[in-house]
Amino acid sequence: MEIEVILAISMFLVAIGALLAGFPVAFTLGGVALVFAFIGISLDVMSVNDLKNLPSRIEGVMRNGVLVAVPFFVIMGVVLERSRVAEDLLGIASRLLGQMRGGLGYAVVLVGALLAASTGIVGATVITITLIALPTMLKQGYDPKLATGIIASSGTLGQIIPPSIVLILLADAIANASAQASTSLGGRAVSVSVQDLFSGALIPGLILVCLYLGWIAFNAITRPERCPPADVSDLPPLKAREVMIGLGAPLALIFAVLGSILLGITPPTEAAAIGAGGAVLLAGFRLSEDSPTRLRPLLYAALASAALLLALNAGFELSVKQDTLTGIDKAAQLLAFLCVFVLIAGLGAGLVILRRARHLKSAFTSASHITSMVFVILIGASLFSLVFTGGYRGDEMIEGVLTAMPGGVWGALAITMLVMFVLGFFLDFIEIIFIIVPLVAPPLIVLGVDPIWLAILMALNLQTSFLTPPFGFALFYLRGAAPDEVQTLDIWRGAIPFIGLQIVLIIAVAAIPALATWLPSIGTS
Amino acid sequence: MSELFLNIGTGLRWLGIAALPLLLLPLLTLALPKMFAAPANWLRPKLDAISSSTLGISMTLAVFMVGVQILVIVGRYLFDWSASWANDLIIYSFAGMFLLAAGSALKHDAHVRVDILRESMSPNRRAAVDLAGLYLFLFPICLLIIWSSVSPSFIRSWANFEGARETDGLPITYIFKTLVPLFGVLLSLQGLSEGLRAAQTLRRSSNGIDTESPLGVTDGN
Repeated sequence: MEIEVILAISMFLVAIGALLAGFPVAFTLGGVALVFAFIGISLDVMSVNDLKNLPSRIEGVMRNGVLVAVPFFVIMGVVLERSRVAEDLLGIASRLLGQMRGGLGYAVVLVGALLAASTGIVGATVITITLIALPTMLKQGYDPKLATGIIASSGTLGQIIPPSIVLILLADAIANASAQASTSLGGRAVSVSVQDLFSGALIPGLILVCLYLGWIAFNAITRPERCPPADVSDLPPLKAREVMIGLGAPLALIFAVLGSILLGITPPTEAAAIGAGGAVLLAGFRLSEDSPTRLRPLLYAALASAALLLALNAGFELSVKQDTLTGIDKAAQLLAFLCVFVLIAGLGAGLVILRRARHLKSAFTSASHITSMVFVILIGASLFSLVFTGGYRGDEMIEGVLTAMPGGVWGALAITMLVMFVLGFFLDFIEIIFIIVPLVAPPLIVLGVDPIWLAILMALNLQTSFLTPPFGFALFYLRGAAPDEVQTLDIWRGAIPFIGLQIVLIIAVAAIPALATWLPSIGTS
Repeated sequence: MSELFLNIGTGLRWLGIAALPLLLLPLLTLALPKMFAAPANWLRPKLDAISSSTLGISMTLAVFMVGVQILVIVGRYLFDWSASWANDLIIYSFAGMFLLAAGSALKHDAHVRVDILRESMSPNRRAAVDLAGLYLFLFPICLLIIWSSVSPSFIRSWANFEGARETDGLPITYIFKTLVPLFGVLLSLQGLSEGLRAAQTLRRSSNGIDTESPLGVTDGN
């Protein structure tokens, strides 16, 4: 065997071993790469110039306009979370559905799907839902196995349902892979956008939600004692106003953001920024419910201005490039300027209300930290790939392995999925996207695999991996947040039916690629 | 004008090289606690304060970029107005937001770890892993980032006050490029602080004193 191959393989194995020691992933990846770069340089296998590309890789991340959507979605998520919008959402949903058998379960699944926007990081969603929902479910007499299974699987739903952050990162990685594959295909390859991946994930995601709901319904019918109706007699009845602010407003925001991306009205980055702004307004409304403030009218004014702006845009010529605006258009334009001013003032009011409730600093601290965490991993992974791919030609090695697999495309796909599944036990989605996807996706696309279909299969596969005992991430975080009387074995056993549902869906998507590719294809045509 | 900045740059480079031995301080406090504990205790809050203040900048940029992006959207769809400098503001804020928060994320343990084994480790063991990780991984990465980003093209960028690619872009590309070495410096400073903390944990336990705050516990927000 050539020395490069040995080094590339050992670099990969050492990286996995080093990761288990528990030092932050971003630096472990980059650091192991540096150690192997040092070995490679001293053996004269690679040159020090390979490392000099690191700053331009970092600048590439800094200038990536698509990835700007990530911090916007993160801001939207943390603001909604800190202002207890997520908590209200679950509270109201479970009071609306709770009196049914299995009602709390339905509520958790639906909220898990809706929380997709707020985080792409498995841990955060699972912990949030566990803390809010698990104690209630247990108190109402839910079987711990069923309750924890519902929570763990709903917590991972957020990854596959748009607008999730991991889908944005995956889209970026798949788009690069696709561009790379297109050079070896002689220019014929599809380009992939975030919008494509969002619409590709929509149908499988919704099917998954239905499968989960169906499984709960099946339980409610066959073994009603596992998911009894909740007792809500001691709670005051829901007021229409509560439902509107707690349920209607977040739903409207999420659908507006998602709809404008899926319908191609705005690019994801812009929709995400609107989502972040909307979340700030919503947080303002929610928090001023508890402690009335004189700033509240400003929030209403901002909403009214936004509506007025849309109306003005439809009815008048507002362009600042037109020198000869008629009197009425000129007046409309001035009014529009005023509306913009009020809109910004409303956002400011939202921020002030957040600040008074002492949520502003903590929300933006975690937004900055999460964003930094994501992109520092990307930098660490870039360093890893500089050495692995640039120095040792490890990508060619992987390409060789994949193309030599028995069974052609399906063999290559199967081994890829298997490796990702196992890696999913100890690496989070983000790391796998940054390290594995750039290595395996280009050869697979060259072999003729549709990039969108591939991405959706990967996402479903990883989501299953996170649910699989004993190492699944979701179970791990659930264990951490669950009360002690819940047995770990119950958590593991509870996950099994949901893994079954996942596998059903993976087989369906693998057999019928149109489930993933049909919606994006009507978007482009 | 550019002369002045080049001189400052050369000065900073020598300052950086002179300060390199500082990175050994955590090990020195372990080897010679009597001599180095006092300067270490003096230095650590200062380092943490640097990370906190750059986190402040990062958070401000986060708020700012949402506002600017909303104005850009309104401008484009309603008023038929667009400008490269406004888009540059968003991109530059984005870059600043994640690069300047990296040190603080390290301080608050927000960089993801694989915690399967870490869960069951003693505080001592964790501190040892952290110390090893710093010297094997984090410091070398930071030094590579600083060394490779302060390249001849970077120096040219400052010498010419490199402007934007577009004529109406934000003409501060040289400052944008400076974020990369700055990221390396800030991260290594917070790494130093983490190293001192880990060394303190190890030292306390070797003295038989209980470690009341194990590493990795965040201090609130």
